[in-house]
Amino acid sequence: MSEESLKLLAEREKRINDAIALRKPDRVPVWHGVPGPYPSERLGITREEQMMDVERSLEANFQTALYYQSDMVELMPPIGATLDPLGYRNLKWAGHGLPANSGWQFVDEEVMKPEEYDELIYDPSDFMVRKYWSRAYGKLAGLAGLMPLREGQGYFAAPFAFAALGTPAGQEALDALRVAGAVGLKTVTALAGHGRRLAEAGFPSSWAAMAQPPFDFVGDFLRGRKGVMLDMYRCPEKLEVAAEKMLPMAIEMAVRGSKMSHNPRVFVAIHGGVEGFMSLDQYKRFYWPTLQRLLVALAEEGLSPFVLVEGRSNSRLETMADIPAGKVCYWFDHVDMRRAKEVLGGKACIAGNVPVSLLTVGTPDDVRAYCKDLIDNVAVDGGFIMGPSGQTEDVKIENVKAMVDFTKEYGAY
Amino acid sequence: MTTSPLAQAVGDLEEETAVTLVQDKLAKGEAALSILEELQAGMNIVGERFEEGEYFLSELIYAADIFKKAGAPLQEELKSATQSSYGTLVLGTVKNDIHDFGKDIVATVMGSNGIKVIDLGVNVEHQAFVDAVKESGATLVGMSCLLTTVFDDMKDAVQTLKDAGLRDQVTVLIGGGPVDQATADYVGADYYCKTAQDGVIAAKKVLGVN
Repeated sequence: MSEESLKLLAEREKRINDAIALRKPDRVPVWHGVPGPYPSERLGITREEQMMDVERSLEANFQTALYYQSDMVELMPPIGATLDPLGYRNLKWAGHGLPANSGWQFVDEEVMKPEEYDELIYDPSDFMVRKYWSRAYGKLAGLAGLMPLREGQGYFAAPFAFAALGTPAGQEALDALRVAGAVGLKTVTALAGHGRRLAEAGFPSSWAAMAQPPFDFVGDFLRGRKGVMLDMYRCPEKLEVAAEKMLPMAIEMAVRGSKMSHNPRVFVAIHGGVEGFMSLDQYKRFYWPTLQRLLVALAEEGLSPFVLVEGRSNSRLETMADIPAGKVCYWFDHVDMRRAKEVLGGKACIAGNVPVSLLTVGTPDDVRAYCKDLIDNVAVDGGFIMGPSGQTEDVKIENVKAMVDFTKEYGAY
Repeated sequence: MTTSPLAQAVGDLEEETAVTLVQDKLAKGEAALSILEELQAGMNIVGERFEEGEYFLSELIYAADIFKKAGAPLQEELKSATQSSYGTLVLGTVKNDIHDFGKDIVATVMGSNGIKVIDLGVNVEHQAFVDAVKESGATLVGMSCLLTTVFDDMKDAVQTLKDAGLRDQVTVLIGGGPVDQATADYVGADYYCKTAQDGVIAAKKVLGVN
């Protein structure tokens, strides 16, 4: 690692960590978001390759980082390569259910029936393998026939434990797992190398570990958006117990991922509790309690949750302020940023908010004006990171560049 | 106009009461169509409360599900009734967009407000809107999307209706996360609906329903 890169890496890392700790860095930190259109337009690395080709995807990420020269690098890992052989049903991407130029799209559906809550709560791991995997991954349907995993004890159980894998559906599942395993290993190994390569070029990775908010785990992956909303009325206690059950697992997963990656920032995307979806009372009953305990637990582990607050959240700010100071960064989509600063100042770092719509249809001048307003009125005493309001899939490259360059020029404290 | 107990139960999200009241009314021999009207009156209460900010999407979805469940025993008799809907809406998420959540909400809320919905699903080809309008004689077309990237697809879909000579026959309503009035102007739609309830209001206005 060159001395120059080492210095840049340390400066950038300090700038971000100072902002999260509510200190005033040398200047406002800024990050450019996911690679977006840069790789396909400037490098000829297609959207499909970014999902399916591990080397080219990471090269795209690296080259995009070099181009924008921002303070941290966000990665959309090439997950399609592993999902594809498994026939995953809930994500579609370029060339795989969507046209070549598309970003990825999530398919919301009911994977778990409401009457299955008890089974999930009784043994979540067994439920994930035999019910979730067998339904969400088209090629793993054969796993549904397995004996409950917890019963695979001793030696007499062995034939029964594995019999389902002998059926045609079981064999298909094993074949798919063999392929996915090889690609998964390759991806994970490459990701570790990629993190080192970025660091050697002077760039911190935005985060490595993730944590799923318990309510969204149930809503996104198991019950579907409509299902989880109906459950708030029809089986509220079960929904609450399920979220409670998921909480320690979310914490464990994030802590382990952070230790492995030596990156203290943990990505947490929250969306199921947004305004419009549910009332503030419902938010306080169903959504916030487990999310708050997740954030507190991660903070106690010395980690910094970087929370993407999707949708509109003005009415949630007071509730969201109930966290340990200087540990959490809220990355906002639509919010009144001045109010966010008022309510969360001294509690949480706030980030993002440069509208993806502006980055898509606006001009560099529009972007600079928006960033100037944020720097003048929100970034004032630190605790702020400039960035896009969400996934920068279809933005104009020159607009993202304007956001980064302007913040670096104008954002000195 | 006084509110009937059934309409009130739907409006207040009292699921069991609504289901029981429908069963009682059927047992007493009340006409399915008049029971349906009461359920729809209940959905109006829900719509008003949604507009006033008292109810949220979760309530709207729950109410629509109560409507569906309580109204299920009426379906058989309603099939033979001549006038069971105010009009027909052809609905779909436009080409290159596979998001169905918002579109599905519109389908259930429209359906529970007396509008027959022909749901074409997601990633709908432009021509499929034309074919469905021709086949059904629908006077309303609803287009949804969650992605800014498909605004041009929405525009092309409206153009395809125009090319088929159907544009004057139908009112085009659009909605979805990134959609706003500027989008409606851009794609050439008649109404921008911020919420599913906005869609109901627009549809009723077009169909001359109070």
